[in-house]
Amino acid sequence: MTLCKGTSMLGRGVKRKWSSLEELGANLVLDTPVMGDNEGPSKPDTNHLQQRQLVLGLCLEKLQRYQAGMELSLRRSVLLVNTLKQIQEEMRSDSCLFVDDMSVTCPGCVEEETILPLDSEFSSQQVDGSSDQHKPPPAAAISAFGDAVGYLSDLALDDIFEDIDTSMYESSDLPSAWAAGPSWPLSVSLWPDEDLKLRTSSHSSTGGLQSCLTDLNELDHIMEILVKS
Amino acid sequence: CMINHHTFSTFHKKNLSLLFTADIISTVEFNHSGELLATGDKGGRIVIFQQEPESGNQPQCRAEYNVYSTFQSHEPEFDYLKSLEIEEKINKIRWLPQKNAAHFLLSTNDKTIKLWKISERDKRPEGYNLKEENGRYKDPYSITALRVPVFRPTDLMVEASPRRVFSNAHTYHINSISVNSDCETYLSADDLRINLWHLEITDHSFNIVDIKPANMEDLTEVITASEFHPNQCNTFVYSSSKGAVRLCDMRAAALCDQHTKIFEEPEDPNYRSFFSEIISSISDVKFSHTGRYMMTRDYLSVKIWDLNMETRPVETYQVHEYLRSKLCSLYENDCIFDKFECCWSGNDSVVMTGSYNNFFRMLDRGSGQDVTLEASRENIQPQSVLRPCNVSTGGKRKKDEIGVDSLDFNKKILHTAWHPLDNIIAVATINNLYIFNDQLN
Repeated sequence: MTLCKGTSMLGRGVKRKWSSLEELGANLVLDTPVMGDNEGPSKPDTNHLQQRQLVLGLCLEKLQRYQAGMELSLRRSVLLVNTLKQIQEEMRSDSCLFVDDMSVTCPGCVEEETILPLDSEFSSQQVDGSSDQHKPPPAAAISAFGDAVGYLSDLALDDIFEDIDTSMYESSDLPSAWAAGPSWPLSVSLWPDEDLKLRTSSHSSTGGLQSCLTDLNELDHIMEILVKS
Repeated sequence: CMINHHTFSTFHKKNLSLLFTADIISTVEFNHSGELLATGDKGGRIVIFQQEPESGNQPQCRAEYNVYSTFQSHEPEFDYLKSLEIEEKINKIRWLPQKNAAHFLLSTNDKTIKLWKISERDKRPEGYNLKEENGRYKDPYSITALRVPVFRPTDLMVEASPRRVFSNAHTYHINSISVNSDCETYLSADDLRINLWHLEITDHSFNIVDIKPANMEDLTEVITASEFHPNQCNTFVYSSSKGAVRLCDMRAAALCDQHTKIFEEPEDPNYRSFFSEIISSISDVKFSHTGRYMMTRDYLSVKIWDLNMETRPVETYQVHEYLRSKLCSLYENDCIFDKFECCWSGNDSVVMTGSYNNFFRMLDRGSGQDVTLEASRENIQPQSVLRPCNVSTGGKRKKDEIGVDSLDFNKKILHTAWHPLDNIIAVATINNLYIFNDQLN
């Protein structure tokens, strides 16, 4: 299976060039409109998983890229995040399915003992010889994806946003959001509460952390003036 | 009136791109008489065209419009709190019904709405005592007598002056404005809130819809468009990114968070994909002139709703169904987020919307017929008739057909407008404005 050239699953702000639809048409085998093909588990599932992987990567890339200094379109961000959530839900339910019902396995997967390390699923540019080799890759992929839910949150936190200046988005919500669990670590930084920022700026006290920072800044400022005079 | 009998032709197509200096057209709107056509662009400018007076009577060439007024409506601003620029791009223009000789319109960017007065001046005062005709001050000691200045005819001047500025009411980006049928109030909608204004009052507005969740992490749906009912001054609708339209009655409550009706069609399970929600997001909502129907535009289709039936639309038209198999690519190149507008013909019998490759679609509700036309300089001679275009999806391509993979997705028609009383249409490509009229038999 090949992805488009230059697709990185969790890109670090690499700007992808506009590619004409014809180019994409040649490379993308994944434009399958209908998910309801019921020929059997193997081919449509493969296609579906491949597409899901691609869309997941694109989603993250778009969300990350979009944050870098440009004004957020809330509609676009919400749509991207909802798509991401949908994929995540699907991944989670797939992994649950695999874990809960051990008797249900995809044909050809039973002998597959090794669970693919996550690195090979996520960070490699070419995903992936391993998928091609097994008849239905899902089994290995599913278990990998199952772990990925937890991994994804850590990954999202550390790797995706490490070079993004998130100082703008500091708010009292932030600590609780990160602590809220792996289910949705990305949301807070995507659309900070604009009203909160406005209110904080006018010094009405909301959010302990933010007002503390404001007070400290003021204190510093006053100290500076006193020292100079 | 069937499409077949009303083929569209151009008269005296002008190369209007020169007037725009490569600025992207962001909105197009006829006034209530159709005499004036306003366009807004990404640079914050408004250009108003006026129908050539004689052309209104000539059956074949009613589409002649000349520049009437050009002015800078909005300037770029900087939000120091967020360290972000506020774009000067004009998102929407809405005309007020005309009450006197002057014309009034509302224009908005992401944050600020302005009321502009456009008036004509064809006389000017002459004979000031202290100033020369060229404006220079006279030497006071040279004045020996007083005279009364008089008005003398002069060349027509069209002036645009800002009469009201409605600011600081929107935290998020304004996507819609709509003048109420009472002609005294209007609404403005951003991603999460809708405000009601009185045209005379700029220092406060009423918040009538607020869908912001207590915890922003719970946000899953935003407002995409909003409009007042054309006749009922208490009724308005707003559409969402999840494909629902809510109708609200302002008499029911001050804050219309509880909708009176919700128009939503259940998703077709056969078409479910990762992109289902994105393509269901409504990009435009427009009431019919009669007020009985409402039209919504989502990524692939146009739907007509009867206000009395919430469960499903009464008519659905596919705009470019051939794109359904390309959604992944369109997601990758961001085209899937494009927001297309739609409009009704004056008598509500035809609806129009744009597409890619500079195509636009006209859908005749009466006959069920539809046509795809192209707005492009290469194809058009003055007084020529636009030929219908076809997009082929299959392997075999007929002559004069264009394949899906050959479509230019950079050439998109997002904004179209239909003259309220005549079959004259305005179609905006990225940089050019095209005005067509139909050929009456």
